[in-house]
Amino acid sequence: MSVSLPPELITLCLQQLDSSDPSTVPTLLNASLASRSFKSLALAPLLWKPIADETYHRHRPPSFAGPSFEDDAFDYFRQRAAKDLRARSIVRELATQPTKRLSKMEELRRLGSDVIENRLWRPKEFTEEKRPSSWLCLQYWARECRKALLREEAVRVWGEIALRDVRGEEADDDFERGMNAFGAFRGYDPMVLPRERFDVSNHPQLVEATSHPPFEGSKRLEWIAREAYEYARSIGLKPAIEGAYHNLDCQYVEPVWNRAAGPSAQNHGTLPMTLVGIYCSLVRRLPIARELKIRARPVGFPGTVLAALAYEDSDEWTYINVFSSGKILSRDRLLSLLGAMGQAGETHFLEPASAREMCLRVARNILTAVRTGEQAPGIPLPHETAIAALYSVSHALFILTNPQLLLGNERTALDRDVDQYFEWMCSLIQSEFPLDVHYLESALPILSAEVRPRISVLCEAIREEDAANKEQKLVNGEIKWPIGHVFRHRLFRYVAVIRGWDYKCEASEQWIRQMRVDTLPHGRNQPFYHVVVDDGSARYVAQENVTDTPVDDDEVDRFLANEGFGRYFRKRERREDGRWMFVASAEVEAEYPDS
Amino acid sequence: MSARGEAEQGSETNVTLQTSDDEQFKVDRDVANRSVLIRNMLEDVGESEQAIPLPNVSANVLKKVLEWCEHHKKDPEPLAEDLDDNRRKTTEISDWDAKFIQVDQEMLFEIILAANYLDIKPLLDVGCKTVANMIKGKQPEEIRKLFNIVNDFTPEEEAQIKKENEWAEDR
Repeated sequence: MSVSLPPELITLCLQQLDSSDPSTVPTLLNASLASRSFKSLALAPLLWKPIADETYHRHRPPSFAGPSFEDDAFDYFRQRAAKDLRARSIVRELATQPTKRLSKMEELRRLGSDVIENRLWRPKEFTEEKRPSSWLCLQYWARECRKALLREEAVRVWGEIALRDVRGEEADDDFERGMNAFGAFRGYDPMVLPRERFDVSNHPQLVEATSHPPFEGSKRLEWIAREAYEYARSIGLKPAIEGAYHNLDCQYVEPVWNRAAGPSAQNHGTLPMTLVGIYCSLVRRLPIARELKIRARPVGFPGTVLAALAYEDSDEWTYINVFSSGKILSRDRLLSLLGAMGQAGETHFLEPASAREMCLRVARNILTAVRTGEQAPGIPLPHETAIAALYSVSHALFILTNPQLLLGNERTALDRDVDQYFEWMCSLIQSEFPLDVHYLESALPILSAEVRPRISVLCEAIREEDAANKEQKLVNGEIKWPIGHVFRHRLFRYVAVIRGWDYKCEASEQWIRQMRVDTLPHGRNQPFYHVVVDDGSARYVAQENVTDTPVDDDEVDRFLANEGFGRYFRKRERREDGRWMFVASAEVEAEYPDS
Repeated sequence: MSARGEAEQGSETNVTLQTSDDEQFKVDRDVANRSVLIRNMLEDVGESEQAIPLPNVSANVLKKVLEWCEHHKKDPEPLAEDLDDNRRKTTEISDWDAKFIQVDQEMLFEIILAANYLDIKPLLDVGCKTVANMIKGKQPEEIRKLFNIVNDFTPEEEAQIKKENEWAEDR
């Protein structure tokens, strides 16, 4: 006689499958194929909720599109999985089809934030071993898709902040979200921060330290402010060291925190804005702050940013300088400082700053950092990183400078600035982010009548270029080097890869003169090559300066870390002589079919 | 506190259990107390010379279950509110339990049924976890075999379900 288990015990067994184990989903699906009764047991919401939480809700709440997570977790999971699958197909299509990419990106945006954390397109899914024929391209497009969606989220966040600002309804987390939205443009997912960085479960010591305040009233606020300050210092969150103040990476929580958690020699610290941002994010999540309804907000004091704490129903703020010394500052002290600065009576400097103002300030800080040109001390800013940072600034300034404009209100003098930010965003989209053309199109209604026609023409041109096949360039007797050739520059010795060429120098007259092209033995009428250097920068090289001297394997490896590389190449291959060369991506191949 | 005091007291006394096939087992009270069912019975009826009847458990299964209870008699009581959470989070089976549960499929199911009936949650978890490990990564046919069930889908229905599950391919 054989024993069998009643349904509730079978469910109990199925519940023991580890919801974070990737084999659990196929196991449950196989169980659902065993019999009718097993199907209803294996697809029960009870089992699929934890799996969906584990897979999709680590950093983002359940999405509202599609079936309800609460009512039918299996169906919800299935639709989310189908979205991930579709998003991966879109990555493949973008990598292999160089035209009509705009419609694919539009489809991707319709899938929305749900696919940002897509497991199917994480970098490790597109390794040289797993996808040997086009791994570079796939990695590149997966990254681009993720970033496009992160940008979309960031722009939405700023838009919401702008509108709430107009209505005077700023939300508690607006400052945090608005500030962290800048990182989205560099691929740092802001939604990861609340759980992985700010959540109190990561900071048991701080929770413990602040759980029993020995004081009441404002003394208690001071005490909590100090404890939180000491704690932040103890985990490496400190002011920027000499020379790091204007580094781009100081502007973003994730790299700052990453370094704070690493060896202290690499911890360059950060600037007041970022420290205050992190500080407020930590304090407002503390159980004690929730219990006593304590608010933590930034204060834009001249020359620095302070943090301020107050009870919910009070306007008496307790100020702390988290950047310099953790000193508690009284209102009187700050007023006398203002006096000394010639700003006596300007009490608005002592009010908590709005999220909108702070975001504008972050934008200007980033602008300064990009101009200074360092990512970290001694590390120059790569081109792509600088562009991404500038692009975030242009969006933020455009959206946040005058929110009234977004509401369709009368244009004011301020809108000259807004127009300028828009032009700036426009030129970045045109040259670097043509797949983001929808941002221009959606801005059309609020543009001034003078600019609008020109922008519509530009948008149309971008769409036409996207739809058209690239004009082909065929190899003639003059072209000596193939696409993908890895070479050392004859004079400057840097290593680069060829990604395109012209039959003769097509640069501007000014560039030709500046570079003294005509003093080259073969002058301007020899083929010129578009090349990618190992640091990611682009150069334009005369044929006579391209060499065939050997390049070591580890020099070639350096290219692989370069984010933009996969746009031009899909993989690398050994030549007959054992050296590496790169194979053109579909996009490059369309232009140079026989090179 | 009081529960623990009772348990210590009780450890000096014996309890008699009677199986479905009329065998009697004399065990320490703190061994028997691993079963919430028995513990509640004892608390309700108080000390008694009478054997406690367990009409749903046979002697060979009870012997095995008591072996587990004996080994775990000193385990701390899980807090009531932790029970649900623990079940999900503790995925590890201890070495002793792993060895203990190395039995044929029929005995495994019997232990699960008995643990459920006797209300011994940690043992039920060990049993269910073991079953979960057995079905992990298995094909439908293997799962049917394990649970002694027949496929009552028509080939068309089966094909339809497989088609519906295509989203999970290539994970």
